[in-house]
Amino acid sequence: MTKLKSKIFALCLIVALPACNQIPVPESPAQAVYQLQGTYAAALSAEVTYSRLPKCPAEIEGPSVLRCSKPDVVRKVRTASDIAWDSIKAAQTAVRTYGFGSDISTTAYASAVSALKAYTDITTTLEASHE
Amino acid sequence: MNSKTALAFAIAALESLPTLIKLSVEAAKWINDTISTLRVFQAEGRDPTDAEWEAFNERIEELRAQRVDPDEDVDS
Repeated sequence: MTKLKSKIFALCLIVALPACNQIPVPESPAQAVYQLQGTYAAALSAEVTYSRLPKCPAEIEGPSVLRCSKPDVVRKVRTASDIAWDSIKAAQTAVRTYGFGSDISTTAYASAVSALKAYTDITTTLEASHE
Repeated sequence: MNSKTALAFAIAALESLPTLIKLSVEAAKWINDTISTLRVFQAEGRDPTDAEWEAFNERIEELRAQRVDPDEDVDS
């Protein structure tokens, strides 16, 4: 795990995020899922912000110049969000019920990571959508 | 936990953080809260209690409820 921490610290230097070197590496399955939820919540707050923007006028195509939201983008993000949240809840239930050593927990955690990655990938494109 | 899985997730999460923080002030708050809480768990050598899980779940459900349905009018 020490090697893992140094790799993450190196990555932090690359992205130059001030608080980054303080991000703890999970020391247990439950902490790993808790971290997933925290990241989900951060992405969710961005989704909420975007979804509450006024709708873009219909004539605007491509990345909009106004601060507005596009209903099709909101739907796409919402779907990814729902899938990620369901996956994270399943992983949480698995680690709380079976522990991480079980096949069920391992599979649930991997699914949650994958779904969350898909969600954050979409969420981070919102920046381009309303700049 | 599998360290490769942990590393893969940590990298993916870190890559998205700068953009998430830029998108929403609340995102930065969630990230800081999660970091702080994880540090407490690790300092105390324990996992979240049932009550802490439920409280966290509740906060997220409340946030999810704030999303605006794309087929509804925005009133703000």
